[in-house]
Amino acid sequence: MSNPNERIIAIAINTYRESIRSKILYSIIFFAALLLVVATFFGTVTIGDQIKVIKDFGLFSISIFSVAYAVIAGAALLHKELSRKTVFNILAKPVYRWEFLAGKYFGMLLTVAVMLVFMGAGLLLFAGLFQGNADILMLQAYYYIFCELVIICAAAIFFSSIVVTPMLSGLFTFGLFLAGRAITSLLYFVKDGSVTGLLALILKALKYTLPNLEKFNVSNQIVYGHSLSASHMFWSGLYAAGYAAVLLILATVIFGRREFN
Amino acid sequence: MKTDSSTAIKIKDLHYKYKSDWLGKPFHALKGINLEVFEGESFGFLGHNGAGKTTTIKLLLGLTTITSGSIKIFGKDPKDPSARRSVGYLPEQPYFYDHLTVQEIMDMYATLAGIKKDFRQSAIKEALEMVKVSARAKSPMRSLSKGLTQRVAMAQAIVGSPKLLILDEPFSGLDPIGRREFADLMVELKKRGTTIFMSSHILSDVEFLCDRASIMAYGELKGVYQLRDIPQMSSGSYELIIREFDGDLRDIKSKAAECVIQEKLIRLTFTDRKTAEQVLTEALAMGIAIESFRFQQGTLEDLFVELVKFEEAKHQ
Repeated sequence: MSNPNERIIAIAINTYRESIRSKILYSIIFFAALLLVVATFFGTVTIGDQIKVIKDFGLFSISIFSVAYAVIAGAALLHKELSRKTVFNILAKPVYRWEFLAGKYFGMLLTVAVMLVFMGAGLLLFAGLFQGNADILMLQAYYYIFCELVIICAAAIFFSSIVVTPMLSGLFTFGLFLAGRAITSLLYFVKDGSVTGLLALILKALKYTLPNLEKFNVSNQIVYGHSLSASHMFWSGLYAAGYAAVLLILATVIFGRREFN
Repeated sequence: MKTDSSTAIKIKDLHYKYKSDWLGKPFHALKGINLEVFEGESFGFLGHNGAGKTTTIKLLLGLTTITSGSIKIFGKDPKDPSARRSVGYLPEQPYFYDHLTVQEIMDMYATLAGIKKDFRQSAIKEALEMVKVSARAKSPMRSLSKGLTQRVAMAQAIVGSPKLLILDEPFSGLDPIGRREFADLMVELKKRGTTIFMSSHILSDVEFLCDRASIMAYGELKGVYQLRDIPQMSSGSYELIIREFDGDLRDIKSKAAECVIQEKLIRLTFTDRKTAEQVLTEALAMGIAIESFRFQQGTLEDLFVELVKFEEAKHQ
């Protein structure tokens, strides 16, 4: 048998090729660019620094559209494989199911990474036009957006492996994104005593199960020129990789037991 | 006597039950299948729609888990990916990724099949040439017709020369030329020692290509047949074709096992020679114009229809 890396790479490369040539990706990049133009308009009518508004809006649109892509593409990923039965052909070869899922995951991650590079370069260039020079600090923000996507893509694969319809899988993934972003703010109400009892307990439990995606929302610091430490970047990266690994292991266990009737 | 080592597929008392919804009873799709397919033979796996053919094929590929019994592919459990190293699979109604080219698809499947990098391109080239799609290697899959897609599906199944080919309706979507080419390809693969296990509804092709065939009905294996023995197994039938006649044909028609009226011709089928000859004499005496009178040997199709109809009656 060929080695597992070769098989995972073969599936990942083709997942990437299939995604990069589809129209959804380009529509999303188009809307992200459109939002950036809108940001420029807001910048001109907002009191304060126009360049900060462009960067803030730009980072927001890159993040939200990358997540949107991960949710839409990820939700349809396994469903399409199952409904078109392309998965049968792959699993009929000497391939482990975990290799198939890993290949799909890395292919998806490669797609969002390339998407991030293009949108990030566009924002860097666009903001640079107004600022007169490229703000290298923005690269740090891109790194954190990518970390968040590492988790979201894994969540999309996880939910695709447990639910049957792409709509539900997409909803769950997006729900996890929203909850992961909101959990820190919600816990604030527990801390100051406005939320008590069972709800407080549930929120505390969610803190340990949901990913803390607010950790990756660093656009404010970046826009205001505050750099993040290397150790913060390292631990955030490790946190994202660890959380994604858990989701993928769970997805593998569920997918491994799946009957292809 | 065939030994275990020369057995490509060994199915022993195989049962499979589809899980039911909340309250329904599980559906017993396969009921104690026993089957052996030997290395180097071509085997036809036949059955009516819903007989359990595709379920068996999925179990052979490890895509579903058996309820009880066992399956071995070259002595290994098909759930073990290394067992599938020797297997090429052509699915029914194959579908590939739209935006990938034929070459990209083949690269992926050749890698997944475990073909070493140094030999991969030559193996792909050979497979594409065998199914005659080399000229379309750079075309995206979405631009291919159904017939060409079927050829690519065959190419990915045979790439790397697997020892066992599992073909689910290999002739579907092919025009007569494509069918002939696929049949020639299968003959060639068999000459090279490949074991072929195919399910098909085109029984004449199975008859032409296979050494043995099994017939499944309602989840049970009804029999395994040497195809060369089928003409002897069935007594055959006698066919009398007469021209339309103004007189009373009720007596003649009542003696026939089957009576089909086609335009101005009446085709009468008899299961025994004596009745057929008696009717022929009567028809001549009545002055009826005879078009033809001949003996038809039993075919796989006759056997299949007879068996399935019998089972159908039992299940109604």
